[in-house]
Amino acid sequence: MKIIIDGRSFEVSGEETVLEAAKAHGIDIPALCHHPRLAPWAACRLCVVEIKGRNGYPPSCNTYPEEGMEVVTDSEALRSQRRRTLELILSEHPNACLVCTEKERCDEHKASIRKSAEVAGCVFCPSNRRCELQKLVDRLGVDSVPYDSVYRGLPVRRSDPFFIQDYNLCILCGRCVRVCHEVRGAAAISFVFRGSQAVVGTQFDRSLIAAGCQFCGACVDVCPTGSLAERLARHEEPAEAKSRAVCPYCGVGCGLEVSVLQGRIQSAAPADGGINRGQACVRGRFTLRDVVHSPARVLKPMIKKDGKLAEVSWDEALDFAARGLKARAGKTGLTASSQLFCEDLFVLDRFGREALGCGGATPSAGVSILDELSAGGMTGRVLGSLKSLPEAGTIVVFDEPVSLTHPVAWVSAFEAVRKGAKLILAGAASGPMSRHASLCVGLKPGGLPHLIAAVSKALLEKGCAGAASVPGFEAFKKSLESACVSRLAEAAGAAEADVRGLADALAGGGPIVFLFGGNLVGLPRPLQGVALLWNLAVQTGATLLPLAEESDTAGSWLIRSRAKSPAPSLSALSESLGKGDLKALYLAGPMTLPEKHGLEFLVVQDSFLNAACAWADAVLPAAAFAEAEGHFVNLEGSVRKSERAVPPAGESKPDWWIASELAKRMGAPGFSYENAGQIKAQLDKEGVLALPAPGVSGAGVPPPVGTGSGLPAEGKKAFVPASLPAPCVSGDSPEHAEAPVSGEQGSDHYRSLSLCHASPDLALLRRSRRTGEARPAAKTAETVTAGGRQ
Amino acid sequence: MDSQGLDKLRAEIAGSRSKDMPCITVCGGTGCHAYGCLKVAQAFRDEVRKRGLEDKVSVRQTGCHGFCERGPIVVLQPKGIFYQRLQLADVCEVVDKTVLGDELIERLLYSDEATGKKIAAEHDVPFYKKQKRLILGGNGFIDPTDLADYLALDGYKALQKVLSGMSPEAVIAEVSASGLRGRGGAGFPTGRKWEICRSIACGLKYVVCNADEGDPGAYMDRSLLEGNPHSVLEGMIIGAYAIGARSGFVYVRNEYPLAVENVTKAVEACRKQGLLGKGILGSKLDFDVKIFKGAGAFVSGEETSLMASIEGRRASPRQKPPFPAQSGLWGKTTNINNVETWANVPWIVRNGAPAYAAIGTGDSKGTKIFALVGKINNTGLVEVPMGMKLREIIYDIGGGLKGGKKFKAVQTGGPSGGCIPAEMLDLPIDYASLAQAGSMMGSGGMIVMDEETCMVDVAKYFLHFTQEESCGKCVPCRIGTRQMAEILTRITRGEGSEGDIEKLSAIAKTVKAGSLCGLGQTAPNPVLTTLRYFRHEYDAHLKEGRCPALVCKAFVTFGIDQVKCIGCGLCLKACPVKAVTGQLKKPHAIEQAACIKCGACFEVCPPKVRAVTKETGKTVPERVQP
Repeated sequence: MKIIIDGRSFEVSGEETVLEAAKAHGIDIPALCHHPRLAPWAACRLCVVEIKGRNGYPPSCNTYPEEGMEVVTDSEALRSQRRRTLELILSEHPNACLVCTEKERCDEHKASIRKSAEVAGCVFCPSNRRCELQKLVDRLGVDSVPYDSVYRGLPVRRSDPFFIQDYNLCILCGRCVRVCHEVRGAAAISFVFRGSQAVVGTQFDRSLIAAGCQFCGACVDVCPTGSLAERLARHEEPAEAKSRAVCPYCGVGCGLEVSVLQGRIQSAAPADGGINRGQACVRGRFTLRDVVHSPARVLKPMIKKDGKLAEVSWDEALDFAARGLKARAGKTGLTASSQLFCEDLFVLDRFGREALGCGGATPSAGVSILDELSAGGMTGRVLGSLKSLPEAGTIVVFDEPVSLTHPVAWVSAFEAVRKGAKLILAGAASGPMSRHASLCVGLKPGGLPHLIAAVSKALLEKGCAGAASVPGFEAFKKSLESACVSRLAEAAGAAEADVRGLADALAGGGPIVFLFGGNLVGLPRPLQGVALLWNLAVQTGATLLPLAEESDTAGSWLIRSRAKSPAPSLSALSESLGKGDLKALYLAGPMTLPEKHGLEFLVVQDSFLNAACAWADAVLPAAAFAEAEGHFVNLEGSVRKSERAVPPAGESKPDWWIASELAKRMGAPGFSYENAGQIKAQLDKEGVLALPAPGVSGAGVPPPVGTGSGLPAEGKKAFVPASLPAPCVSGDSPEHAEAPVSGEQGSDHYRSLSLCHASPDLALLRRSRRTGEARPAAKTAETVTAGGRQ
Repeated sequence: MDSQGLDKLRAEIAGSRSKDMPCITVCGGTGCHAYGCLKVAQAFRDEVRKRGLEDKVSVRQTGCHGFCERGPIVVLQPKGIFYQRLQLADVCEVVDKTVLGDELIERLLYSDEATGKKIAAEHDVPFYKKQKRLILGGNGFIDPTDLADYLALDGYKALQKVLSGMSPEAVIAEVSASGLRGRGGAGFPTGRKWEICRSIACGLKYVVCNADEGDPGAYMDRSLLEGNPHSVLEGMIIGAYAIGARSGFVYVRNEYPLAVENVTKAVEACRKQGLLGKGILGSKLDFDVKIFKGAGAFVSGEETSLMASIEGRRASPRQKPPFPAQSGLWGKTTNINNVETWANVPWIVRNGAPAYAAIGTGDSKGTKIFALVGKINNTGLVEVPMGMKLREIIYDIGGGLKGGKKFKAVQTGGPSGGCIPAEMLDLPIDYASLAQAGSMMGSGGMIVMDEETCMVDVAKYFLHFTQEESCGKCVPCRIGTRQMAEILTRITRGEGSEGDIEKLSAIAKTVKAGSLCGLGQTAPNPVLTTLRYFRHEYDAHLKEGRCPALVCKAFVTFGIDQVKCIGCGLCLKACPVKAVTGQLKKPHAIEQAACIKCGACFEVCPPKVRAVTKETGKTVPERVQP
């Protein structure tokens, strides 16, 4: 349709608001409460416009175009209305600096006055020069506030981890509340009180941590003012440089914008657009700085001298390690973390095969879902993507607290729920998920395979034979012939009605997506669980979205699966320890070693000092992810480029460099890489990562998954053989040891460093969630911490 | 039960009730509750039982009669003898003399202020004489908890008429032709609203009765729900049929416990008799009503806010469009009408649109209920035809101002409305004239103010109200009302400064033009109208240091006339801060520095003496802090 804005005629779709349509055509209407990711709110009343034929000043953020609509975005009346409204806002916001005549020159003269307890003006504010209100004041030319100014005098809330809440600066645009409700589904904060007392707060004025906040930081990112300020960075100047890294923790691979100040990471915020579309989680948003600049970093190469590790030069360390390894070639094991870039993993894998003679790099995280899928011959299903997740009609989560382990995947799932999709939880349920689930199926430990089998059987009983033509259907049907839904449900610890409810949902509703993760793989008979789930997906036409635990799980699988002979599994490697066959071990990924490991030579290549270093003969410092560039392949198979943000700490070097230097010293040919780009070129040439066509690569653009990316997704779909799970006698079946009590979530580590160890705030959060303990309410904590944590 | 069944039931009820049988109706409205009507009604019941007259005399607790000033009100039917301010001690005498005998008790009768004549019949009382009680009329006859009473007064006949062959379109046409406009404040044509809802294809539609009455001083919706809930429900069922809704809500304030109770009982009674539920009266109409108790915010009465509240969210308005008809409860088409609007519907259907349209003025048809309160003799609910002049309501029905004081202004439409001055007493009350005067119909609050009211103080009161009741979402309303309230407070404290009036009107305009919902858009009205009609009072405060109405303490000084004072010592005893000094039988004096201007001395000074003076415009000495 056509609309006229400021006398110019534009073609618009009608789905975007007048504000967005104008912006798309270069007409920027001032607004504060508007945010592209959030539903219109129309509270700041700054985006008002005049529309021919309508009374008053409708807000453009909440007005949708109509054919022939005539909009005026700028007139004397509008300017005056906006200015007056902004003056009203400023009357409740520390405004001394905003309307100061000397504000242009102020920055030159101030040193560190930002370290004040209470923000009384922009120069004291953590958001100075980043503040949207500040920009708007300049733009609208407000130079005085004719009304009495009010400082609300609310206590600054400092008791919560990660960020500080100073609602004296709040303009109640509601973005934080809305993002928490609309995007994250967490609803930890809300508006409390009304009228001029209205403020953002929590239920019963509890601290955020007690209110169930996950500290994803979405509220901090959308706040236009300095009300919400990241604790670590709040007294610092704005960043000098920014670069785009990919979060190295879980398999989602969120794009992060890393701010750098004086050669150090200042903070990291989710990048707009891309896979994560401006969202991140507590780990990616708040722990990067603590991890990369952790005191546990290894800064110099070390070798064992007189029974002790001593710092030496790279040459000495490399020569020493090469000698030791060469002497034990063929009897050496190699582990690699799946949080390394593809470039590193590729070189390490080659190093293992060609120099160490060990058949490649063993992933230090153990068997991944992709390994299981391919090992079971499960091909023919297109893996789901995060991008298509919001379009799902039914989402079933199999025993995985997604909102904790893969919070950004949960954001996509929640988007589907907001659009009306059914969310069904089988087993584990964390806070926000269970609130939005339409069905929660209880499970006892180890009961998941039984549940899956029960649902398959219930569907067969319902006569849903849509998959009858798929190869293997008869065998599948036969394998379930003797099964009984109620007995399987009992074995799973689920109510039979819930099982049938789940089957009903799968027989109906729209595109179905199964989310599952490590909990299914970790079962005692791993393959069977995955196979049963696979068959259920084939039976119902569901899409599988395996939630890889580490950032490069898929990359690691792709690199390893290009060779015919696989590297030994982690458990095989563990078993061979102390048996005499394994003489040396090269740890480029963390591995827990037993006291009697019987190794003659141990090399640790890591960014952090860890337990294995105690036995190490050589410790080689590796650069952390933000200190090198490289690529991850995320859980949906898209190749994500991460940029270098800061120089490597100390003398640490990229992993690929260390491995190729060693290989060269051990006489292996073809390791003369000069930079990561060369390795990437080789990967591309060999089609290992199966990158999409040039031009579409890069962070944020997923390649067409399953069209040759090499992930287990090719071929025809078929049922795979799977036997009925053995009856699970009771909850404490010997096969299923109790899960260790730990507050840490799946990817709460980077290489060998525990994130909780690096970030005390994260440790606090995880501990509070584990034990359910909450920190004292803000009011009491305020007095205690006033001098401490600021 | 089908329609014929209902006719039969109605006939049975009529048969069981003799027209000549004496019936003692005791007003059970909230006002009379406060006067102790429950005990009075019980005393009547006990008295009747004691004398074994249960078969011959009936006692009925009815809804609000409207004349709340004179409660507890007892009307003896069928003669309609009107007893006012009836106390427990009078019960026995009333039964003896008036019910059993034929004697009137003079002291309980209403006496005309002007002529001093005693008036026996309810309809002859001037308060009622000029009213046209189409909607409120039933209140006086009906026991709200008894469906039979409503049926006996042709209740649910309109519904029967609708279900016996009127198409939904015909119902809408009838309502449109009647000219009925929304009684909740904005005055949107009801028929048009229904038509829009009808025209939208939506599988699920809702009707909502907005009973979140919150204007200070207004209580007509409360009285209707308490006194005649079936009339509201009947209107809703007809509305649901017309727009095609299957489910409805009554959103009623939890602060109205009796309304909640009575409407809940009414819904249960309807379900029992097949007037709600599946296949109403044997037709194909399925409709049921849920009672939703509001959480007590003024802004919940705003329709989008009300819907948010029903959906379980914070009662905060959202921008319109989309209107509730386009996207209402849970995104479905929703028709929201006010209690009084719904109660008008059965009358219109029963008596036909022409009969309704014959009442009122060009663009405002029918009657309107007003809550007449303030400095007026006859406080209460009045229902008058649209177009009646203010003067008639205030002087003829309201009996003029208390204590014969001079009329200064009337505030209509609650906190969203404006103050209308004495010069405009001949203003006909309809939507257009009120809007033109800068006020609004609102829900029908009518607060009468006399010469002892300070208009700046009134504006301050209303702005404090809206400031507290603003939801806090949009900037102009949240901050603008607070700024206005603060400026007004400053002025009344004598701390006003030059330019305050300009600032006030600038903010008022910004808030009016920029606010998100009706609350903010109308909140400046009290300021704008007082500035328009009573600018001199603002000037007196700001420039002359005077409060002409002697209300704002900062401008008031108390003194003692040394000539008149007889030294009785009453003021000395009454003064809480010992500011009055003097010896017995000798003229007293007030130490200005200590005076807190509570007015206690002024109150106690004997009327014959009147030595204590209350003045404004004098320089006030600084109060000495002890």
